[in-house]
Amino acid sequence: MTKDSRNRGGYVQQVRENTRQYIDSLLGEIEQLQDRVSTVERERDYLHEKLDQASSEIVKKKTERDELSCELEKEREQNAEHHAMIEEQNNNLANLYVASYGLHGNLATHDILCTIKEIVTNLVGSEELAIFELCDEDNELKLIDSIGVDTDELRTLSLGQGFIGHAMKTGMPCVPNQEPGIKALPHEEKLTACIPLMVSDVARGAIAIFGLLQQKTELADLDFELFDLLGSQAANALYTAQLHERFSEN
Amino acid sequence: MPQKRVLVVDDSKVALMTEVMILRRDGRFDIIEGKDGEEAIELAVKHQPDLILMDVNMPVMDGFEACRILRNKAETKSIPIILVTTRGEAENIEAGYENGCSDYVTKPINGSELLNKIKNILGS
Repeated sequence: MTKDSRNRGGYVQQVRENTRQYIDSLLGEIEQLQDRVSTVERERDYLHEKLDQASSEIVKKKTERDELSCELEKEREQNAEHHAMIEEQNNNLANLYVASYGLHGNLATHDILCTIKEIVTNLVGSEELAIFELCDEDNELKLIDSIGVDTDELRTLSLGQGFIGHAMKTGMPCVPNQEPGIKALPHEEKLTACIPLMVSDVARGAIAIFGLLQQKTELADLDFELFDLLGSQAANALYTAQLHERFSEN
Repeated sequence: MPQKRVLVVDDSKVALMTEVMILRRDGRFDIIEGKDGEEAIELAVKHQPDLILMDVNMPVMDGFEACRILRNKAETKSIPIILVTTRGEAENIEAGYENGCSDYVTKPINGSELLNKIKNILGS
Protein backbone atom coordinates (compact mmCIF):
# COMPACT_ATOMS: atom_id res chain seq x y z
CA MET A 1 0.00 0.00 0.00
CA THR A 2 1.44 3.38 -1.00
CA LYS A 3 1.69 6.38 1.27
CA ASP A 4 -0.93 8.26 -0.84
CA SER A 5 -3.47 5.48 -0.61
CA ARG A 6 -2.97 5.26 3.18
CA ASN A 7 -3.61 9.02 3.51
CA ARG A 8 -6.81 8.81 1.35
CA GLY A 9 -8.09 5.93 3.53
CA GLY A 10 -7.59 8.06 6.70
CA TYR A 11 -9.38 11.01 5.11
CA VAL A 12 -12.40 8.93 4.15
CA GLN A 13 -12.45 7.52 7.65
CA GLN A 14 -12.40 11.07 9.01
CA VAL A 15 -15.25 12.22 6.72
CA ARG A 16 -17.29 9.19 7.70
CA GLU A 17 -16.72 9.92 11.39
CA ASN A 18 -17.66 13.60 10.92
CA THR A 19 -20.79 12.67 8.93
CA ARG A 20 -21.79 10.16 11.61
CA GLN A 21 -21.36 12.77 14.34
CA TYR A 22 -23.30 15.30 12.24
CA ILE A 23 -26.11 12.81 11.66
CA ASP A 24 -26.14 11.97 15.38
CA SER A 25 -26.40 15.67 16.29
CA LEU A 26 -29.17 16.14 13.69
CA LEU A 27 -31.05 13.15 15.10
CA GLY A 28 -30.64 14.60 18.60
CA GLU A 29 -32.01 17.97 17.44
CA ILE A 30 -34.90 16.23 15.66
CA GLU A 31 -35.71 14.39 18.85
CA GLN A 32 -35.62 17.63 20.83
CA LEU A 33 -37.77 19.35 18.24
CA GLN A 34 -40.26 16.48 18.32
CA ASP A 35 -40.39 16.82 22.10
CA ARG A 36 -41.02 20.56 21.76
CA VAL A 37 -43.68 19.96 19.10
CA SER A 38 -45.51 17.54 21.35
CA THR A 39 -45.22 20.00 24.27
CA VAL A 40 -46.60 22.82 22.08
CA GLU A 41 -49.36 20.53 20.84
CA ARG A 42 -50.29 19.66 24.41
CA GLU A 43 -50.27 23.35 25.31
CA ARG A 44 -52.39 24.12 22.23
CA ASP A 45 -54.91 21.45 23.19
CA TYR A 46 -54.99 22.80 26.73
CA LEU A 47 -55.48 26.35 25.48
CA HIS A 48 -58.19 25.19 23.04
CA GLU A 49 -59.95 23.55 25.93
CA LYS A 50 -59.59 26.73 28.02
CA LEU A 51 -60.84 28.82 25.08
CA ASP A 52 -63.88 26.57 24.67
CA GLN A 53 -64.57 26.88 28.39
CA ALA A 54 -64.16 30.68 28.23
CA SER A 55 -66.41 30.86 25.14
CA SER A 56 -69.17 28.91 26.81
CA GLU A 57 -68.72 31.07 29.91
CA ILE A 58 -69.10 34.19 27.72
CA VAL A 59 -72.24 32.76 26.10
CA LYS A 60 -73.61 31.91 29.55
CA LYS A 61 -72.77 35.38 30.89
CA LYS A 62 -74.32 37.01 27.80
CA THR A 63 -77.51 35.03 28.33
CA GLU A 64 -77.50 36.03 32.00
CA ARG A 65 -76.91 39.67 31.03
CA ASP A 66 -79.76 39.56 28.50
CA GLU A 67 -82.04 37.99 31.11
CA LEU A 68 -81.05 40.66 33.65
CA SER A 69 -81.61 43.40 31.06
CA CYS A 70 -85.09 42.00 30.40
CA GLU A 71 -85.81 41.87 34.12
CA LEU A 72 -84.49 45.40 34.55
CA GLU A 73 -86.63 46.65 31.69
CA LYS A 74 -89.67 44.89 33.16
CA GLU A 75 -88.85 46.40 36.56
CA ARG A 76 -88.52 49.85 34.96
CA GLU A 77 -91.89 49.47 33.24
CA GLN A 78 -93.50 48.30 36.49
CA ASN A 79 -91.97 51.25 38.34
CA ALA A 80 -93.22 53.66 35.67
CA GLU A 81 -96.72 52.14 35.90
CA HIS A 82 -96.55 52.26 39.67
CA HIS A 83 -95.39 55.87 39.56
CA ALA A 84 -98.21 56.80 37.14
CA MET A 85 -100.73 55.03 39.38
CA ILE A 86 -99.49 56.85 42.49
CA GLU A 87 -99.51 60.10 40.56
CA GLU A 88 -103.12 59.48 39.52
CA GLN A 89 -104.09 58.59 43.09
CA ASN A 90 -102.43 61.79 44.31
CA ASN A 91 -104.32 63.78 41.71
CA ASN A 92 -107.56 62.12 42.71
CA LEU A 93 -106.94 62.77 46.39
CA ALA A 94 -106.03 66.37 45.60
CA ASN A 95 -109.26 66.78 43.63
CA LEU A 96 -111.31 65.29 46.47
CA TYR A 97 -109.54 67.58 48.94
CA VAL A 98 -110.20 70.62 46.75
CA ALA A 99 -113.87 69.65 46.43
CA SER A 100 -114.29 69.08 50.15
CA TYR A 101 -112.38 72.25 51.06
CA GLY A 102 -114.49 74.27 48.62
CA LEU A 103 -117.78 72.97 50.03
CA HIS A 104 -116.89 73.59 53.64
CA GLY A 105 -115.24 76.96 53.14
CA ASN A 106 -118.60 78.74 52.75
CA LEU A 107 -121.66 79.44 54.83
CA ALA A 108 -123.76 81.08 52.11
CA THR A 109 -126.11 78.91 50.03
CA HIS A 110 -125.26 80.85 46.87
CA ASP A 111 -121.51 80.26 47.33
CA ILE A 112 -122.01 76.56 48.01
CA LEU A 113 -124.14 76.21 44.88
CA CYS A 114 -121.36 77.97 42.92
CA THR A 115 -118.81 75.56 44.40
CA ILE A 116 -120.97 72.54 43.43
CA LYS A 117 -121.17 73.87 39.85
CA GLU A 118 -117.40 74.49 39.81
CA ILE A 119 -116.74 70.96 41.06
CA VAL A 120 -118.96 69.43 38.39
CA THR A 121 -117.52 71.63 35.65
CA ASN A 122 -113.84 71.47 36.58
CA LEU A 123 -113.44 68.09 38.24
CA VAL A 124 -116.18 65.91 36.73
CA GLY A 125 -116.29 67.64 33.35
CA SER A 126 -119.83 68.73 32.58
CA GLU A 127 -121.39 72.09 31.85
CA GLU A 128 -124.94 70.79 31.91
CA LEU A 129 -126.25 70.30 35.41
CA ALA A 130 -129.23 71.00 37.61
CA ILE A 131 -129.41 71.20 41.40
CA PHE A 132 -132.74 70.40 43.05
CA GLU A 133 -134.15 70.80 46.51
CA LEU A 134 -136.86 68.56 47.93
CA CYS A 135 -140.19 70.21 48.71
CA ASP A 136 -141.56 67.99 51.45
CA GLU A 137 -145.12 69.25 51.24
CA ASP A 138 -145.50 68.64 47.48
CA ASN A 139 -143.26 65.59 47.30
CA GLU A 140 -141.41 67.08 44.36
CA LEU A 141 -138.01 68.41 43.46
CA LYS A 142 -137.64 72.13 42.87
CA LEU A 143 -134.82 73.46 40.66
CA ILE A 144 -132.61 75.82 42.68
CA ASP A 145 -129.64 76.29 40.34
CA SER A 146 -128.39 75.07 36.96
CA ILE A 147 -125.98 75.52 34.06
CA GLY A 148 -126.62 74.74 30.40
CA VAL A 149 -130.03 73.05 30.78
CA ASP A 150 -133.63 73.88 29.85
CA THR A 151 -134.84 75.32 33.15
CA ASP A 152 -138.50 75.32 32.08
CA GLU A 153 -138.41 71.57 31.59
CA LEU A 154 -136.71 70.99 34.94
CA ARG A 155 -138.38 73.64 37.13
CA THR A 156 -140.25 71.03 39.19
CA LEU A 157 -140.00 67.23 39.01
CA SER A 158 -142.42 64.79 40.56
CA LEU A 159 -140.77 62.08 42.58
CA GLY A 160 -141.12 58.38 42.16
CA GLN A 161 -140.18 57.51 38.59
CA GLY A 162 -137.16 57.63 36.32
CA PHE A 163 -133.49 57.74 37.25
CA ILE A 164 -133.78 60.84 39.42
CA GLY A 165 -136.69 59.30 41.32
CA HIS A 166 -134.67 56.08 41.72
CA ALA A 167 -131.67 57.99 43.12
CA MET A 168 -133.92 59.85 45.57
CA LYS A 169 -135.56 56.60 46.67
CA THR A 170 -132.36 54.55 47.13
CA GLY A 171 -130.16 57.40 48.38
CA MET A 172 -127.41 56.20 46.02
CA PRO A 173 -125.94 57.93 42.97
CA CYS A 174 -127.67 56.65 39.84
CA VAL A 175 -125.90 56.30 36.49
CA PRO A 176 -128.43 55.49 33.72
CA ASN A 177 -126.15 53.19 31.71
CA GLN A 178 -125.70 51.05 34.83
CA GLU A 179 -129.46 50.76 35.46
CA PRO A 180 -130.92 48.94 32.46
CA GLY A 181 -134.17 48.20 34.28
CA ILE A 182 -135.19 51.84 34.66
CA LYS A 183 -136.96 53.76 31.92
CA ALA A 184 -135.75 57.31 31.29
CA LEU A 185 -138.33 60.07 31.62
CA PRO A 186 -138.39 62.67 28.79
CA HIS A 187 -136.25 65.15 30.76
CA GLU A 188 -133.72 62.39 31.55
CA GLU A 189 -132.78 61.52 27.96
CA LYS A 190 -129.35 63.15 28.28
CA LEU A 191 -128.83 62.33 31.96
CA THR A 192 -125.31 61.05 32.81
CA ALA A 193 -125.73 60.74 36.59
CA CYS A 194 -128.01 61.76 39.41
CA ILE A 195 -126.58 62.28 42.89
CA PRO A 196 -129.01 62.41 45.79
CA LEU A 197 -128.08 65.02 48.41
CA MET A 198 -128.20 63.08 51.68
CA VAL A 199 -128.52 64.58 55.16
CA SER A 200 -128.81 62.05 58.00
CA ASP A 201 -129.67 59.28 55.52
CA VAL A 202 -132.53 61.27 54.05
CA ALA A 203 -132.43 62.56 50.45
CA ARG A 204 -133.07 66.31 50.64
CA GLY A 205 -132.29 67.16 47.04
CA ALA A 206 -130.33 66.02 44.02
CA ILE A 207 -127.69 67.02 41.52
CA ALA A 208 -128.48 65.92 37.97
CA ILE A 209 -125.54 65.87 35.56
CA PHE A 210 -126.51 65.76 31.89
CA GLY A 211 -124.05 65.91 28.95
CA LEU A 212 -120.31 65.61 29.60
CA LEU A 213 -117.73 67.90 27.99
CA GLN A 214 -116.78 66.86 24.44
CA GLN A 215 -113.31 65.65 25.48
CA LYS A 216 -114.71 63.59 28.37
CA THR A 217 -115.94 60.35 26.87
CA GLU A 218 -116.99 58.47 30.00
CA LEU A 219 -117.12 58.64 33.78
CA ALA A 220 -113.92 57.64 35.60
CA ASP A 221 -113.42 56.06 39.04
CA LEU A 222 -112.70 59.50 40.52
CA ASP A 223 -116.09 60.74 39.34
CA PHE A 224 -117.85 58.14 41.48
CA GLU A 225 -115.73 59.24 44.46
CA LEU A 226 -116.74 62.81 43.73
CA PHE A 227 -120.40 61.76 43.51
CA ASP A 228 -120.16 60.18 46.96
CA LEU A 229 -118.45 63.29 48.31
CA LEU A 230 -121.04 65.61 46.74
CA GLY A 231 -123.88 63.41 47.95
CA SER A 232 -122.84 63.74 51.58
CA GLN A 233 -120.71 66.87 51.94
CA ALA A 234 -122.51 69.16 49.48
CA ALA A 235 -125.80 68.18 51.07
CA ASN A 236 -124.52 68.90 54.57
CA ALA A 237 -122.91 72.17 53.48
CA LEU A 238 -126.19 73.32 51.87
CA TYR A 239 -128.22 72.24 54.89
CA THR A 240 -125.84 74.03 57.29
CA ALA A 241 -125.88 77.17 55.16
CA GLN A 242 -129.69 77.19 55.09
CA LEU A 243 -129.80 76.76 58.88
CA HIS A 244 -127.22 79.53 59.28
CA GLU A 245 -129.21 81.85 57.00
CA ARG A 246 -132.46 81.13 58.90
CA PHE A 247 -130.66 81.70 62.20
CA SER A 248 -129.13 84.97 60.91
CA GLU A 249 -132.58 86.20 59.72
CA ASN A 250 -134.00 85.65 63.19
CA MET B 1 -82.41 73.68 40.06
CA PRO B 2 -83.84 77.23 40.34
CA GLN B 3 -87.61 77.43 40.70
CA LYS B 4 -89.61 78.54 37.69
CA ARG B 5 -92.22 81.19 38.31
CA VAL B 6 -95.70 80.31 37.04
CA LEU B 7 -98.70 82.64 36.96
CA VAL B 8 -101.94 80.66 37.36
CA VAL B 9 -105.14 82.48 36.42
CA ASP B 10 -108.67 81.14 36.90
CA ASP B 11 -111.87 82.70 38.20
CA SER B 12 -113.04 79.36 39.61
CA LYS B 13 -111.65 78.81 43.10
CA VAL B 14 -111.97 75.04 42.66
CA ALA B 15 -110.08 75.07 39.35
CA LEU B 16 -107.43 77.49 40.64
CA MET B 17 -106.81 75.39 43.74
CA THR B 18 -106.62 72.20 41.65
CA GLU B 19 -104.08 73.74 39.26
CA VAL B 20 -102.01 75.23 42.08
CA MET B 21 -101.96 71.90 43.93
CA ILE B 22 -100.72 70.06 40.84
CA LEU B 23 -97.86 72.54 40.47
CA ARG B 24 -97.06 72.70 44.20
CA ARG B 25 -96.79 68.91 44.43
CA ASP B 26 -94.14 68.96 41.73
CA GLY B 27 -92.13 71.29 43.97
CA ARG B 28 -90.31 73.13 41.21
CA PHE B 29 -92.58 76.10 40.77
CA ASP B 30 -92.96 79.43 42.45
CA ILE B 31 -96.67 80.21 41.97
CA ILE B 32 -98.51 83.49 41.60
CA GLU B 33 -102.33 83.44 41.46
CA GLY B 34 -104.74 85.64 39.53
CA LYS B 35 -108.51 85.55 39.01
CA ASP B 36 -109.19 87.19 35.63
CA GLY B 37 -107.54 88.35 32.40
CA GLU B 38 -106.99 91.91 33.52
CA GLU B 39 -105.23 90.80 36.70
CA ALA B 40 -103.20 88.33 34.64
CA ILE B 41 -101.75 91.16 32.54
CA GLU B 42 -100.97 93.26 35.60
CA LEU B 43 -99.28 90.35 37.42
CA ALA B 44 -97.37 89.23 34.32
CA VAL B 45 -95.88 92.70 33.81
CA LYS B 46 -95.03 93.01 37.50
CA HIS B 47 -93.61 89.53 38.18
CA GLN B 48 -92.32 88.44 34.75
CA PRO B 49 -93.27 84.75 35.18
CA ASP B 50 -91.58 82.01 33.16
CA LEU B 51 -95.00 80.69 32.13
CA ILE B 52 -98.68 81.63 32.37
CA LEU B 53 -101.42 79.02 32.88
CA MET B 54 -104.73 80.74 32.19
CA ASP B 55 -108.39 79.78 31.95
CA VAL B 56 -110.33 80.87 28.87
CA ASN B 57 -113.75 81.64 30.35
CA MET B 58 -113.32 84.37 32.94
CA PRO B 59 -115.20 87.52 33.94
CA VAL B 60 -113.80 91.04 33.34
CA MET B 61 -111.47 89.84 30.56
CA ASP B 62 -111.40 86.35 29.07
CA GLY B 63 -108.29 84.27 28.42
CA PHE B 64 -108.23 84.87 24.66
CA GLU B 65 -108.21 88.65 25.01
CA ALA B 66 -105.65 88.57 27.82
CA CYS B 67 -103.48 86.29 25.69
CA ARG B 68 -103.65 88.69 22.74
CA ILE B 69 -102.76 91.70 24.90
CA LEU B 70 -99.87 89.84 26.57
CA ARG B 71 -98.50 88.94 23.13
CA ASN B 72 -98.57 92.59 22.07
CA LYS B 73 -96.78 93.94 25.12
CA ALA B 74 -93.01 94.19 24.89
CA GLU B 75 -92.55 93.08 28.52
CA THR B 76 -94.70 89.95 28.19
CA LYS B 77 -94.66 88.96 24.52
CA SER B 78 -92.17 86.12 24.97
CA ILE B 79 -93.80 84.52 28.05
CA PRO B 80 -95.27 81.12 27.09
CA ILE B 81 -99.00 80.81 27.76
CA ILE B 82 -100.96 77.58 28.30
CA LEU B 83 -104.71 78.08 28.03
CA VAL B 84 -107.11 75.98 30.08
CA THR B 85 -110.42 75.37 28.40
CA THR B 86 -113.60 73.41 29.03
CA ARG B 87 -114.24 73.36 25.29
CA GLY B 88 -112.01 70.91 23.48
CA GLU B 89 -113.52 71.62 20.03
CA ALA B 90 -111.04 72.32 17.23
CA GLU B 91 -112.31 75.86 16.57
CA ASN B 92 -111.86 76.78 20.23
CA ILE B 93 -108.31 75.47 20.24
CA GLU B 94 -107.55 77.24 16.96
CA ALA B 95 -108.85 80.47 18.51
CA GLY B 96 -106.37 79.97 21.34
CA TYR B 97 -103.43 79.59 18.97
CA GLU B 98 -104.62 82.56 16.88
CA ASN B 99 -104.54 84.67 20.02
CA GLY B 100 -100.97 83.58 20.73
CA CYS B 101 -101.13 80.71 23.22
CA SER B 102 -98.24 78.23 23.24
CA ASP B 103 -100.34 75.21 24.20
CA TYR B 104 -103.64 74.31 25.83
CA VAL B 105 -105.14 71.80 28.24
CA THR B 106 -108.78 70.80 28.60
CA LYS B 107 -110.85 70.38 31.75
CA PRO B 108 -111.05 68.24 33.78
CA ILE B 109 -107.32 68.77 34.09
CA ASN B 110 -105.07 65.73 34.03
CA GLY B 111 -102.14 66.52 36.36
CA SER B 112 -99.54 64.48 34.48
CA GLU B 113 -100.57 65.94 31.13
CA LEU B 114 -100.36 69.47 32.49
CA LEU B 115 -96.92 68.92 34.05
CA ASN B 116 -95.63 67.33 30.83
CA LYS B 117 -96.77 70.30 28.80
CA ILE B 118 -95.19 72.75 31.24
CA LYS B 119 -91.93 70.76 31.24
CA ASN B 120 -91.94 70.63 27.43
CA ILE B 121 -92.15 74.38 27.32
CA LEU B 122 -89.80 75.22 30.20
CA GLY B 123 -87.45 72.26 29.74
CA SER B 124 -87.39 69.46 32.29
